Amino acid sequence: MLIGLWLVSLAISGAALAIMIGLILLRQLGSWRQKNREAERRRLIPLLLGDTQPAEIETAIWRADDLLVELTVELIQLVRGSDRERFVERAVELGVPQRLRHHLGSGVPRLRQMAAEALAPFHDAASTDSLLAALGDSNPDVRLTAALSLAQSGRSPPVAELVDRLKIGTDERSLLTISLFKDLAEQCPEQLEALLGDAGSPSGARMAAAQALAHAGRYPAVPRIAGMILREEASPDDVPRLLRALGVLAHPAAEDAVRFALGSNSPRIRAAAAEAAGRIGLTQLTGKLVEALSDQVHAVRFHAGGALASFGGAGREVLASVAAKDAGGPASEAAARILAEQGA
Amino acid sequence: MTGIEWHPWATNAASLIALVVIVIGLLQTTFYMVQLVFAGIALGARPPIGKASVLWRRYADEAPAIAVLAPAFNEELSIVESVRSLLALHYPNFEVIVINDGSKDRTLQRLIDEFGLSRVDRYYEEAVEHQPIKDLYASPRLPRLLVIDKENGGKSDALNAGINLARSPIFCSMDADSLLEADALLRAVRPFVEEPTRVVAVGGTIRLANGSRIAAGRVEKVGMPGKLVVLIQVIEYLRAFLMARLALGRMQVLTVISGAFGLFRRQTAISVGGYSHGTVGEDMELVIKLHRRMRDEKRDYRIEFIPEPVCWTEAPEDLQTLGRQRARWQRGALETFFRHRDMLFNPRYGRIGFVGFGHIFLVDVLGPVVEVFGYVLVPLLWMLGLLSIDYLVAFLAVTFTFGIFVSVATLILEEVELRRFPRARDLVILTLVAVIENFGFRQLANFWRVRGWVQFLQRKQGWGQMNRKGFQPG
Repeated sequence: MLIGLWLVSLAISGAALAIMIGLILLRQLGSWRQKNREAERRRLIPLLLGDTQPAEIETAIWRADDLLVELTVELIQLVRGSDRERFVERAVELGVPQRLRHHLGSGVPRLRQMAAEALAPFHDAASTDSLLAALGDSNPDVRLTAALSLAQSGRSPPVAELVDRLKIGTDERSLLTISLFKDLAEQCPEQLEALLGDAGSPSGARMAAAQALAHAGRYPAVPRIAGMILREEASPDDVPRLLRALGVLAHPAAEDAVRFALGSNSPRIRAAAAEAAGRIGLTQLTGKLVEALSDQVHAVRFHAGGALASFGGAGREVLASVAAKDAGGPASEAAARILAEQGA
Repeated sequence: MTGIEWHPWATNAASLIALVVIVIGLLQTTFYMVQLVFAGIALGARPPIGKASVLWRRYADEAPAIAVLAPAFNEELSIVESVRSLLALHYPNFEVIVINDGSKDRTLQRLIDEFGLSRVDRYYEEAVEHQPIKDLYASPRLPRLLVIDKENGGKSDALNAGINLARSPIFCSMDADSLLEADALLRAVRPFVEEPTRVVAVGGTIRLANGSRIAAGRVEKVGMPGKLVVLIQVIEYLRAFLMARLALGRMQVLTVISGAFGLFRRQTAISVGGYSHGTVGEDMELVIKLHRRMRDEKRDYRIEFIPEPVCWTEAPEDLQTLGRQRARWQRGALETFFRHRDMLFNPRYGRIGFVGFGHIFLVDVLGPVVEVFGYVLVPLLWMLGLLSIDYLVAFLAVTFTFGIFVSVATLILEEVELRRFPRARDLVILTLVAVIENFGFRQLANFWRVRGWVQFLQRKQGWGQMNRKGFQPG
């Protein structure tokens, strides 16, 4: 037992010492590599920016494969327009997409995700195929990044397939799915509208579709979104997202849905409805909004007051009259404070 | 002494005491090993850390608005620079709420003069309790900035006022005298973007800025502090954040998010009453209240930790201040533990009850007492001839070498994944410090923690005086 304890102690000390020596050696090696890398960067950047032939660059970078990938990707991300196209062409000539596709097969998810992100500007068939294959990656971050890369360049598979493969709205709840759909809303809005109208699709995916369509200003989505609220198709947790989408679209056809939502039992829905009324400019709901100023929940009063204030002079007059009545009551306080906040 | 013949019950009792000390030591050791493994897994599995521009491209469109809450008490020397650095954060949608918590110096006046503030009104709800607000100040030139002037009530009280006034769905609690990295919010918001319906809070890594070069409210170059007492704290912070919190976050049993930097979903924080009064461990208390509420309501939730350095703070440079700080931390942990003691090993609270609270019980409640008890009793038993010196020394050797191993292993995590120390020499220094801290500092730290235990039993309140030097610009 005693010897055992000392042996354990010795083993632990030995391991700690070995780790320390290893770390220091690795750091020295790393510092040396870093210096070389920086020197290589300084040497490579002018080659990449100039008119040097790819073959010459290939010769110049024979020992800096990863650096070439890193540099070209950085340059591509830095610029736009014709410069970007030029860098992409140069990267293709240097075989960068091929190397990135190789990274997509790495065992390290972080590397795969970086590769999926960096492959976005390369539109060749092999890169597209690799990104499409990455939609089935075991790691959700890699899947989503591949989908974003494909969508940015109009190479995305149909929306329904994406929802299915990425499990959008079920396992995949990232807000980045809204970014993904925003790209798709520019390219295939009708597919997103179909998704929005498909009661069998996951609600999270439908909500993301509503927000993306709103961002793209797709007015045909208004009746569909409004209908979902009026028919109580969406869960109480989702209705505020639909109302926010209606607010972004700012189309008066949403009036009935907003009016209906203002009468909801859920304070979150009432607050979102009041906010939407303000954003859309539904002055016909002034009476309802005045009622909402007496709501038990602060957020509803706040958004109702904000909506009335956003109606301009007429709305502020309404607020002033509410402030003057029933001094000390919640409606009066809300109206007075909101007016004061707006400097009126 | 060795010639004394002891009654069997005495030798049995001595063996039992030694056994208890050893078993608790072994349990702690095992838990540290598990933490190391989980921390390694967590670091390996995190997504790529992009540059700020990449993070912006990735998250800017969908990143939710954040209210940065900066409580300030007598900060007239540094408040302007702190606020400037907060206003310069790289994040698409944020507000900065400075809460002047009844400062007795010119903190408020300096803010008014520097930023051209004037009195404003704002419609808000007193959703969580705090001392009365005297006035609100803002300027149309700086729409992101709001200053709350309130009566003194302490940090948790000030944060509660900030929570009430905030209009963003997420708030970030911090200290006005800490420094945030420019892209701290962009990095920290990731879990809220990726799991918007589940994540209720996110903690970030706090690092010590002593010895680093500071300019315009930013850490420009990471350096090593010159004083041993601060160097030891550098190692402690690495262990606490890069090993313990990262591992506990991975296990989903994180029980504390540092008050110097944490992001919380505002509505969820309000639903548990915000920060609690009457405790010096308000940061831990809030996290435990969130766990309790989520578990009680059987909600699917996550409390995450991100390892990238996001906030820099100043460590005490003298033993007196450090001792007060450690006693206070200990007191805070005990206050929270005993307030929520029914959660310990309670199946209703799942892994929080068993692993999270088990960890607090082992490390914070029993740890210092048993270790100090061991320092006193084991040599005493040896002097009485009830314990073998050979075993005592061998056991101490295992304990100390293991402590060194854990620190060195944490350096691997730092070196492989973050590499914030610029020189190889720094690693040698930190390794040596990891050895030195076992001889004197570790024992002292445990005595401070026992003092915290005593203060807890005496129901002592208050933070005690903190002597800070202030960040030294480079």
